[in-house]
Amino acid sequence: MAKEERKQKKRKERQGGSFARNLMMFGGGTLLIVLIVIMLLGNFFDQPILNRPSEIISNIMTPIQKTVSGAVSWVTGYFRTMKYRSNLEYEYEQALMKLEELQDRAMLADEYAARLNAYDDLSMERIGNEAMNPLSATVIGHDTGNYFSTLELDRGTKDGVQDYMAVVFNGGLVGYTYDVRSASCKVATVIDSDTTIPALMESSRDQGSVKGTYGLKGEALCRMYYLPENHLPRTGDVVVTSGVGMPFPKGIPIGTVRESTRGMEDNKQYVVIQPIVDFQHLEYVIIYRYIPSYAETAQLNSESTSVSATLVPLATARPLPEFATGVGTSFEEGGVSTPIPADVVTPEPEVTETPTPAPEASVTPGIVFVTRSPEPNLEYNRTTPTPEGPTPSPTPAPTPTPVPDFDMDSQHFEEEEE
Amino acid sequence: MKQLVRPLRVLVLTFVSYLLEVCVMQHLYIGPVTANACLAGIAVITVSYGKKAAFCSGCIIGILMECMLANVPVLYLLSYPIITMLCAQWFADLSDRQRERRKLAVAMDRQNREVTRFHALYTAKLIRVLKRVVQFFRRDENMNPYLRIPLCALTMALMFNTVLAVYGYISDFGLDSGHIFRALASSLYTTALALVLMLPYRAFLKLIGRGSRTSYVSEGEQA
Repeated sequence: MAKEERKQKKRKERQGGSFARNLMMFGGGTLLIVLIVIMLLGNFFDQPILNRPSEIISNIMTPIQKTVSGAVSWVTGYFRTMKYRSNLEYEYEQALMKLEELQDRAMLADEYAARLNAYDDLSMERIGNEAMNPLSATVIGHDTGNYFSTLELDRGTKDGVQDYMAVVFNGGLVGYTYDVRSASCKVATVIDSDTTIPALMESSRDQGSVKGTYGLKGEALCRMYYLPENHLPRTGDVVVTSGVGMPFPKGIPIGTVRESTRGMEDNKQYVVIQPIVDFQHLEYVIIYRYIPSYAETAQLNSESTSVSATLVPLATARPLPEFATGVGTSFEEGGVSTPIPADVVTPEPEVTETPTPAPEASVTPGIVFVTRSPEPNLEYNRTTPTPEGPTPSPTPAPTPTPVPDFDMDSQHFEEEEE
Repeated sequence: MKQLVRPLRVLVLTFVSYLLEVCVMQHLYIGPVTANACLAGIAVITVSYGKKAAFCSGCIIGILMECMLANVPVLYLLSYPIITMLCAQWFADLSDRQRERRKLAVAMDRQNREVTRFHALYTAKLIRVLKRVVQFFRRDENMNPYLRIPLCALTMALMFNTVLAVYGYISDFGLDSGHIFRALASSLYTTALALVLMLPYRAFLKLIGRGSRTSYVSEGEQA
């Protein structure tokens, strides 16, 4: 019984709830329709009372909408800030990466600029000394020992390289070639202890020989020996190759005088030379394939003495050698020698005429002298300025050249005879 | 007091949909278009609580939009309730009376189909497809509400955009393909929004989860 009563009670409640719900839905729907009708009429009739419902709704909804809109704006602003911050971090990372990339590129550009400068120097030097048959070479090996300083280049006999050819970089002598093979060669640098190169002071023309000290001191320096005792080199004087004693181009700068203790200490018979070339950073060099001929070497020798021995043809059947000055004549072995007539009595010449070397082969009884066209006096053309070294003295007074101490009257010069 | 819970829920959902539309959707533009949260909410209410609740919700949305955001007089005030009522006729749950009537109609159709089976073999394919479409809307069973909600939202959005397009055409706005493309995109966006919103809305309406009715048959009309 109790169950049935409970069921009936629930049924009554449900029926009542359904009725209330239907009533509310009906009332609400009616209210909404009335509102819509009023608002429709308000659009067509300008009555204040018709616009009243919309005003009330607007007054209720405006603060709610404002609050919700503010909250939504705050949330969106927060997310926008987060997005902005993440973008900022991303852009910062990108900027850092770009900075590193630019630093790498700047380093690369510096390297390229240095290489370009080196190429430029090489090119300038090649153009300035085109007659000396330059050849660019790449350094492919260094002797890393503590006693010797040699390089290995990628040029050999197939490129025309021979022994004792000058190797130059950046306007300074690196050394000379040796042990030349078909596709490579070695370079004995000027700082090597076994290297000796004849040299002279550019200002005073004092001659000596430059020897490396790398094996002695472990420093990239040279020493210049055999200078005249009565002359004291000055700091900053440029030392160049002299070409004396070996077929080597003349005038290539080797270095500058760094210090000279010859005047103070008697046991130090040398001056210290600071080489021009930076031997630690050699990558490219130029090989000058020009080798002066023997005659030119003799000519270079004659510059210091101004006297050379040549054969002066005489009118007699047996010309006697005589000292003469000047260049351009040489004795040629290939000349046709005429046998000396034995029975011919040669009258004594009254006036001896020195035959001037003619372009054509002069037919002279006894010895035929053939005038040889003078070879070009190739000297190293210094295209690049001498790199920084010890500053030369402000007033480079010329060192007095040793004057030969002889009597002018007692000497027999060819010019005087003429 | 328990009887007031359902209308209050409908009222809350309607307000929430309105606030979503006017406050939130302006931040959720996808390209040039945004979704209509009001229509998405009404679609959920239509399928969940039936025609009367849908009509009330449409009226409230229309009145609020007319009061707060009306650019064109009467447009929102009339379009929302009318569109809601039309779509509720198609997508709301069937009443018991309607269901019985549909069952009878379907049975009669089947009987007639048996009689005219021979002729049916020669029926054109297009006609058969049209018949199936008509039968889809004349079924004796309710479709799954999770399918009906997006369909309802899509239909309402298309109708609403059609009304706006007609208004624009009448007002010489110069309709072009861009307008049509935006209308279609907006309708699809509204459908997607309805798919997203139907889960929390139906949970709020106690139709998902604990205490919910597992059967979706006559959810609204039984009330």
